[in-house]
Formats: sequence, C-alpha cells, structure tokens
Amino acid sequence: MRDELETLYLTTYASVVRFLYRKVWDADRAEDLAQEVFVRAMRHRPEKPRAWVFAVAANLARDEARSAIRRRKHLTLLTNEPTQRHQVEPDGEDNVEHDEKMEKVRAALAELTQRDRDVLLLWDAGLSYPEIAEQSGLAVGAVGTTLARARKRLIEAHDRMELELKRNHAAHS
Amino acid sequence: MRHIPADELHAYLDQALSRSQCVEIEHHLASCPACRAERDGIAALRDRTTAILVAAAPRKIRPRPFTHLSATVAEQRSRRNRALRSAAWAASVVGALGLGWALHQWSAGAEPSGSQAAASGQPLLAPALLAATPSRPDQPAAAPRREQPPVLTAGTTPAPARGETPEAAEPHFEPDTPAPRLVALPAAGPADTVGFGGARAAQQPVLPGVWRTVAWDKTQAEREQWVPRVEGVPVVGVKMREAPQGGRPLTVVMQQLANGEMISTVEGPATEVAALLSQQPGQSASAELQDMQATAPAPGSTDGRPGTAPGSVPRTLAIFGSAPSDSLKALMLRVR
Repeated sequence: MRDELETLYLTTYASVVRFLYRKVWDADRAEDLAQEVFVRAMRHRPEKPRAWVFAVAANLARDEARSAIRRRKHLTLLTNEPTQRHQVEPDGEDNVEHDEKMEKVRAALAELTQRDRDVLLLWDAGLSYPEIAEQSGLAVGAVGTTLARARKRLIEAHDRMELELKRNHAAHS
Repeated sequence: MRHIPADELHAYLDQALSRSQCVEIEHHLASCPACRAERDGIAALRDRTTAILVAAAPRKIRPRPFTHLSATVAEQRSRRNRALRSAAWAASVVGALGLGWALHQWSAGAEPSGSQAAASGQPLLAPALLAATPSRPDQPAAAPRREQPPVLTAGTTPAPARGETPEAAEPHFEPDTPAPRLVALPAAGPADTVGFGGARAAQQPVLPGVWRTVAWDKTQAEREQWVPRVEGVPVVGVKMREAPQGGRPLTVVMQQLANGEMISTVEGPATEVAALLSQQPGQSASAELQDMQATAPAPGSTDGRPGTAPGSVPRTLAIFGSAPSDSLKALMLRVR
C-alpha cells in the first residue's frame, strides 16, 4: 500500500511549490521550501496532512520573507546599489513575455490585503472552504465573501497594471 | 423573491455548499434571469483569477522522487541521535570532572570551604558514583556512564562551572597526594587483581542480625531522627536494625568514595556499635569511636515511649572501612 504522505506528495507537491513561489518569488527557493515542508510532514505525521502542509508552507514563506528583507538590506549596504529581484535568463522573447506577465501578477497581488491574498492563494492551491477558514482564522461563511472581494480586486489591479505597462511601452516607442 | 448574494454564488461555484443549498440556488436560478447573469459574471471573474494566477508560477517544477525525502528524514534522524549521544557523553565527562574536583578539594584541606560544604550538602545518588573515574574510560565500570541521565551528575556537582576543572581533577591521580585512592586494601589483596566491582563487594560491611534496607530519601523524609553520614559522599545504602527493647535503632549508612572504597557510618548504642565493629574483617583497625551522649538528640522522644528510658544508654558514632585510620579521622570531621 502506498504511504498516505507519498500520495499527498505526488498530488500536491506542484501546488505547494506554486503557493510558495507566489510568496517568495524564487523558483529554486520555492522548491527547497516545499521539500522542507514535506520532510517535516514525514517527521510529524500530521492528522490532516493537506491543510498542515499548506500551513507550514505559509509559515516558512513568512520566515523567508523576513530574512529576505534582512538580506536585501545587508546587500544594499554592502554594494550600495539596488539588488535584482530575480534573474532573467538570457534566452528569447518567450522569457521576456513570461517575466512581464509575472511582474504584473506580482504587483497586483501586492495590492491585496494580507488576508485577501492568503485566502485567494489557498483557494488556488486547492484547499476547501473549511480548510481555508481554519488556516486564516475566518468563519467558513466569511470565506466566500473574502474570496469574492479578493478576486475582484486582483482583476482590477491586474488590469490597471496592464494599462500602465501599455502606456509605458507606447511612451518608449 | 430574494436574489442570491454574490458571496453565496462564489461559494456555489467553488462547490463549497451543501447539496440542499445547491438545490435551492439552482431552483432560484431557473426562474431568475438577473441572478443567472450575476452567476455568469462571477464564473468569468473566477476563471480570470485562475488565468492570472497561472502566470505566477515557476516555469518548471521538478519534484524529486519520494525516496529522496525518506532518505533525508532518515539522515536527519540519525544525525540528531548522534548529536544527542555525544551531548550525553560530554555531560557525563563534565560531571565526572566535577566530582573529581570536589573530591580533590576535600582531600587537599582538612576543613572544606563554606561554599563547598553547601554545594555538597545534597547527597549524591548511586549512579553518580560511576562517574567518579574520569580519566580511565577503559575500565569496565566506566561503561554504564553512557546510560546515566546527564542531569544527575551535572545537577549535583556544581564544580565544573568554576573553570578550573581539568587542572583540579588531575592531581587526584598523582601518586604523591594523600588521596584515598592510594590507601591499601588490607582485606582485598593486591589492587590490580581485584576489579572495581570485586573490591567493592569485599568492602561491604558484615551485618549480622535482622537489618532493614531503607531508602536514603525516606530516611530523610520520614524519620525525624538524625541519621549521621559523611557529608558530600554519595550514599549507596542505609541499613537499620531495630533495638530489641524498642529503643533507638542501630543505623549503618554506606557511602562510596570516588576511588570505589566503601565506608560505613554506624550510629547506635555503644555496646552494639562495638560488637558490630569487632565483626568487620580487615576493617576493624580503622574504626573511630566517639561518644555521642552529649550531642545526640534525646532518644525515644520521637516515638513517644518514655518507659523504655533509653536515654541512659551511651551512644556511639563510628566510621569503619578499609581506609587507614587517619583518613577515617578526617572523614569523621565531616560527619553531619
């Protein structure tokens, strides 16, 4: 019989990586943290593994964000120049377009409140309303309301970013 | 007719409602074009959100095989176990050095300093003894040290905190210091032919008659009477023989010095103590007698039987063991 955690790993690993990526914005780091999450799950054998995995992922991402801020401050002090947020691989139009899209989403997500963003990302990761409620501290009935608001705001912010980008492109050309 | 609120439609599309709630909503939608339009708008919003978020993902996700995870967990576990084992080992070594330091302090001067007396006021329990041979880990007696809880030695020997431990412990094993380890064992034969356990067995006091074994803690807690012992030396056992007429019993407190030698502090009616001392083979020569009549608490006062009037019986305190009499005299100074 296949281990329950192994099944969870196979079915949710990608979701956990995406969830983490949208918090740390670094693909390698997201995969490392996802590995760490599942290693911890194997050690602890939680009762509700799926919800547990995302709760731990959220905590790790929060710690990561804090240390990233410290690191960036440190680097800025050392080099006295702004640090690159992520590395752009030097190959083709595709990547440029991909990165542009990503930047828009990133900026749009940043405009949401912490709670709206968390609920939206948990929902996108496949968690149920009760699971989202437990992790975010909301009542189950309030998850729908929060999601309704978060979706609307994300789309509004995203459209605004797109418009700004178009204006910028027009100004450059 | 009530229209369906937007958040309920979100929950409906997210399949977060009960079956009966869904039926209710579907029933309403069938007859309400406004809510149908609202539902379609929310469905589009929902799809758009998903489409936006899809862009925010790593281009490739490469899950490592599950076996890699299991291996990582197993490796972390064994690393932690190793760390725990070496921590326990380090703690027992520190404890042993501390004990050596305390003993050296004691053997160096006749009067122990006030702080040391306070520090050693708590009797050490038997497992701590095994830590008393710090520089000889090859001895068979050193093996059980691994298993003993490190808290025990660390907690009862505060000496290592003072920072002079290694130097202080060392002289204890030099041949020209008057350490008790160097005392000849008259009854036990050549020291190198007798193992640690063997020497200890040979030093067990000979106790004729009916003796009760009493736990040291109990002696302290339940018997209000005074049970003398050498302070700062671990208590291995307490034996007690009731007096025939219900007077104060004869007590023997067995303690073990750091070098493994056993000493026994006996207290009771003078005649019985003398009789007991005469029955110790190879150890009798070093008995030290002291008249206790003046200092001992009034016998019989705790058990409320004044009729036995044991107050008239002279009481004696003695230490016997295989150590020479001058060592025992020094130990007598530390009887409390």
